Amino acid sequence: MTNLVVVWNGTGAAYQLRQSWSTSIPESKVGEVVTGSTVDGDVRDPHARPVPRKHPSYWLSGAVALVIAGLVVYSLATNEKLQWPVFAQYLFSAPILQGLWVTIQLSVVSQVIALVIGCVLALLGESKNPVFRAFVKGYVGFFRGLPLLVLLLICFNAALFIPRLGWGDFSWDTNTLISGFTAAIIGLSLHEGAFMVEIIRAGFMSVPPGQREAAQSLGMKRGLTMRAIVIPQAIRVIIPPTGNQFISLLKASSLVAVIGGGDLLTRAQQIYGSNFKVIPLLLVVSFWYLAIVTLATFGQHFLEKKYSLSAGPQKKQTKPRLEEASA
Amino acid sequence: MTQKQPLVTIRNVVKRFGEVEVLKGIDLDVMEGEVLCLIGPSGSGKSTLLRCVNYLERADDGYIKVDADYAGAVVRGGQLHEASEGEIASYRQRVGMVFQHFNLFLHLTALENVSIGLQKVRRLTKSDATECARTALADVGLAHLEHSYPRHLSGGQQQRVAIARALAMEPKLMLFDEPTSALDPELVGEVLTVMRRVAERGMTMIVVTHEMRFARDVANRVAFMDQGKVVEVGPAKQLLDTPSSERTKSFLTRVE
Repeated sequence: MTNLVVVWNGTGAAYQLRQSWSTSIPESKVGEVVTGSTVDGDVRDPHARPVPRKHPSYWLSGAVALVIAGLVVYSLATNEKLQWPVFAQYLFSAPILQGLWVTIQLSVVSQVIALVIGCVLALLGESKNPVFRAFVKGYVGFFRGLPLLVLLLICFNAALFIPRLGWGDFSWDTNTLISGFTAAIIGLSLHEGAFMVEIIRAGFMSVPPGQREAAQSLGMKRGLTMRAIVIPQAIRVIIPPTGNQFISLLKASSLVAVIGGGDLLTRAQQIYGSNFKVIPLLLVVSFWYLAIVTLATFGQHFLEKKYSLSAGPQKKQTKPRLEEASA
Repeated sequence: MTQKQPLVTIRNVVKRFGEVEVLKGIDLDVMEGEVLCLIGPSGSGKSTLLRCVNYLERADDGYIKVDADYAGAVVRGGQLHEASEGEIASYRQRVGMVFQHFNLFLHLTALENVSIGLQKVRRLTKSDATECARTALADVGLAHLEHSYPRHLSGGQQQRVAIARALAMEPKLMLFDEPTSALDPELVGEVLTVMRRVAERGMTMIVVTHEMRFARDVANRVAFMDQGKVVEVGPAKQLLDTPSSERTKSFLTRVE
């Protein structure tokens, strides 16, 4: 018995048995040409690797999808009822762009206020004081439970149950203070704030309890523990869902059309209210929402990558020096 | 070892988790400069007692006194009152703690882990804190890894950083909660070596451990706990070699 190896002869179909150090094959078989890739059902080629499977179904389904997509695009493009020339006429018209700008303002301002509400209430929720914790629970329960549309209508009609805001001489007529825009900001912020509280709280909870215990054992108070230990670690858990939340806020802001918030949808409704070109204007609105949501999604991916759990802070690591390592 | 007055006094400490009484009236004294090892089966209350000493758990009855301060309490008008957050924090500064799972701050480098307490709690300037932290890290043999994050360190290295972090605060008492239980066997030695050095320098230590050799070699006294009670306390060799209680005997035959 000699140690032998099977060598691929280059055609992919036959193997030749040769003397070697690794595999044992009966001496009588040395030099024998073996067809197929196996000897006695065993792969003997030391460089063997599986041939990748072919996936004809991928190509087939791709082709079908292309055909269907082509048909859909063709029927949309040639559908007279969609009035593409009107779409083109309004896509970059002044009122639409103004509405788009209002939508962006509403979303950004509300998100910022919601972030502040979320931070403050999440910290209060961490408090030892049971009154603070109950307040946070109440806030989240109320504003998360109330449909946004209902909340917006309540904010807009606040004057009906709070006629004047302020105290004595320092009070103002609610109706002059609350426009469609301010009512929209208040409603969206309060609603979004409830979700931000939950997101930030989840971030705090994601930090292992041992981190707080270690901080406490060093003599850190609760505030310092939050600032120096918990928040820096929670931030990466908080940021990705916040981006998500902002994207849904961008879309949810279209609800302010019911209170004349002056956003993209409001403007489109005003235009088709007078010229009855409903469908092309809704197409304009859809186009712009998809555009800004796509843009925000890119931002979201960027943030997610930057703050993903696996990433973490990467600073250069000094190489262990030998004399110190052995000391 | 010259024994002075007790640095730690534990009196009638009771701790309940709901219905379960985990500590059923613990009395223990630890002298200044003494190393006390707590041994016993899991669930016997060793770790809970240690956590009570650092006030990570609040004892339901009894009191714990370290030097002139009470864990989570202050004396006012001859009566113990629940301490304020600031008083608890300043008490904890004087009691160092090392955890089973290291609990290094994951977002900070080894050096920052050690310096953060110096800077934010002891209020040293940043450069002083860093300087002190460097010395503390060098002391546990990790000067070359000061810029590494915990996840790049082995368990043994992480635990040595954790010891340096606690020691840098210059505590009067060090608590070790099963410091080698989460380590691979080949990494246990380096941590025990560091702990041995700390003991040799005269630090008062309470160590919850399953390392009987460490207890025999380093501890002055050993306390055996079972079912929330201290069954027996005595000089290390005497308790480990000739235990007087049957329960201690059967525990020791099972672990050794």
